[in-house]
Amino acid sequence: MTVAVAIEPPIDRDAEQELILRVQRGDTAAFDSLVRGYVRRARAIANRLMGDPDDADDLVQDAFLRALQRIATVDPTRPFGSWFFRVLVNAGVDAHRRRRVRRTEPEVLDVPSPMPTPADSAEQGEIRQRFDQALAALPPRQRLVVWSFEVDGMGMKEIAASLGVTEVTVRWYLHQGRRALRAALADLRA
Amino acid sequence: MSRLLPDPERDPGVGEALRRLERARTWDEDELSQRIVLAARDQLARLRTPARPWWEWTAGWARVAIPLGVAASIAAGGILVSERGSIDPAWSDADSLTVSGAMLSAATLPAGEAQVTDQLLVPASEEWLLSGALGR
Repeated sequence: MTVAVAIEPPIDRDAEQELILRVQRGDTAAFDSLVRGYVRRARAIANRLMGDPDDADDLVQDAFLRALQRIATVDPTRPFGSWFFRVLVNAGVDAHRRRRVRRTEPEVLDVPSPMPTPADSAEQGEIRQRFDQALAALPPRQRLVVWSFEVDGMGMKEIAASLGVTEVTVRWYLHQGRRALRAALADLRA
Repeated sequence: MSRLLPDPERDPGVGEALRRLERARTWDEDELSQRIVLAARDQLARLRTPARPWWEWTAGWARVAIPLGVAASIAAGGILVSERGSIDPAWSDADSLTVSGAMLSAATLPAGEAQVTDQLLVPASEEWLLSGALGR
């Protein structure tokens, strides 16, 4: 089962506008609906940024609280999602930086391995581990770009808009990220 | 420049390896959503009671500050009046006359520095006492 990550807004535009206006007045039910509408996509992005499910959940919570802090400045007529995901990515990059200051040893993505198949040899396991390490070593934005492009099927322009960077930067991140991951996969392909 | 460039080709190997990482994850958004809404309770409560503009804040304090200020002024005035009443006017006048007399003689006497000092402060020697006694 592939985790489906919705790219289009999960909430109808008019309904979302109404929800934001209500959240701006402190309506808990409206905030709950807004969270439920975006939490799935937010969690997917957070997992890719942080690599650890618990850290990812903390990040999602932090991002929603940051967004709520600034909700008074949000224009309800503009898409909430693109603004919120930028808040999330920025919070993720900050959290990643803080975590890297705390930890000095290289991190390994805390992702449960899929059930082993007969084809899973020790060598393949080792290569997979190397791939995980290469992925974890990527800077968070680079990792997110590769994931959004290769798994979600997003285009350069779309990724650039969601991250708030230029398309040229996205191309550079993709180039760098894929180069590292391809090197880790090279033995698997051989 | 980037608009002229088509998007790069996708890499099936990288894509498949990434998908495989996400396959085994379990997703329980309900629990996380509840946690977030619970954590946001205080912030939402603050939004329901927004901060008042400064003039409302000032007006609110004015109800307390103005009577307090008036009461303090009345009390200060009362203290001043009572203090003034307690000073002995005779003593006060005599004292001020002595001081002003010394100042006047110090200014008008055609004398040297020592005399001026004697008039204003303390005489430099005990001769004044002797001359005063003999003079009588």
